[in-house]
Amino acid sequence: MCRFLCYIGSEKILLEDLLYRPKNSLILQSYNAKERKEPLNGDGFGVGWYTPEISPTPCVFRSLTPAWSNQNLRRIAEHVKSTCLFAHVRSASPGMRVSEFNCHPFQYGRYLWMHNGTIEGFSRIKRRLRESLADPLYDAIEGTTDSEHAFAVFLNLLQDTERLFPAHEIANALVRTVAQLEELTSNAGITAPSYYNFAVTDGQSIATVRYVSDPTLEPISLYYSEGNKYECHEGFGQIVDGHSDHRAVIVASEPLTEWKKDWVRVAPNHVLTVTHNLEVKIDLMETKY
Amino acid sequence: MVTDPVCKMQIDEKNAKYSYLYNGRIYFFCSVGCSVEFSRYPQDYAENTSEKKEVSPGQGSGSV
Repeated sequence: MCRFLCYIGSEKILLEDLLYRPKNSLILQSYNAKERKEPLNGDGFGVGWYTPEISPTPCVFRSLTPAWSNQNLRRIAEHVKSTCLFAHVRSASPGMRVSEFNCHPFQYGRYLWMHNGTIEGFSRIKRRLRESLADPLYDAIEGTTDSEHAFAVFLNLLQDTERLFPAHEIANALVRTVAQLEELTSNAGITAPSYYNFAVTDGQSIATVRYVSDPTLEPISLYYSEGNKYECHEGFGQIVDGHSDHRAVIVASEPLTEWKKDWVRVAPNHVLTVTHNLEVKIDLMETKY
Repeated sequence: MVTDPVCKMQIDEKNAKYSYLYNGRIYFFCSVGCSVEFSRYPQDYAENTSEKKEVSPGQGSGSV
């Protein structure tokens, strides 16, 4: 289990204002997560951000060292601004290797992908999952995680990874990814629950799910906050509303600030989409195959 | 139509399969996930709900 956050907005923000400065920043969550039984997420980290004036594909920085002590991450965060950012701190699932290749976010073309959760019984479905992939996607897998393989399933369902899709089609592919994983685990006779908090972006929209395969269980935490602008002053960060055409949305495993009213829990087994117009839409997932 | 207090979807209360009685009011949900989530944090979701159905004495509990 891990922690992650996503930012997308009409204005660029400094990475440091999201990763380090808020009271419950992602860096703090790497050693003191509030909404996990195990507060440590020290098995590596990763940050991905977009600079569309240079390239439609994101820049990604990953390391297997803990985020809380990585000075390169600190220096990068102090000097990089972006309108779209993904960041993740990892707590490796039992049996999963700690390796740079296994750190999120994973990247393919214009897409970034993160996962908080576990595909239960992954080793028993891995072969069949890989057999379903197109050759370029099969070859692109570098690590050993269930998360990266789930990303490959998503890309396989998109089919054309070069094309720019509307947000609802990305969200639809994400829901179908969960459905395909559910089918694979069910056919393998796996009954223990899987936890799929996935997040994917193409730099212009975001789709996330908060999902557990047994709907009577509580899924892993996921929140969002939306408004006109994200501001961070003297250690206090929040999304503020005002008379502005600007928009900003943050989706995160835990609220970054102590103002509970700023944060909304994503409903269990629902998909949250942030469109190209930076509007938030939430829909029930229909995943039974 | 009423609003699911967890996911904010509009749902037809006549056909809603999931409901929950809290503080004398019935809330309706789009799915079992939302109803179970509400049962975990009722004070959070009930405070933010603008559409609520009052329960009269003698009405069914409507629990999941």
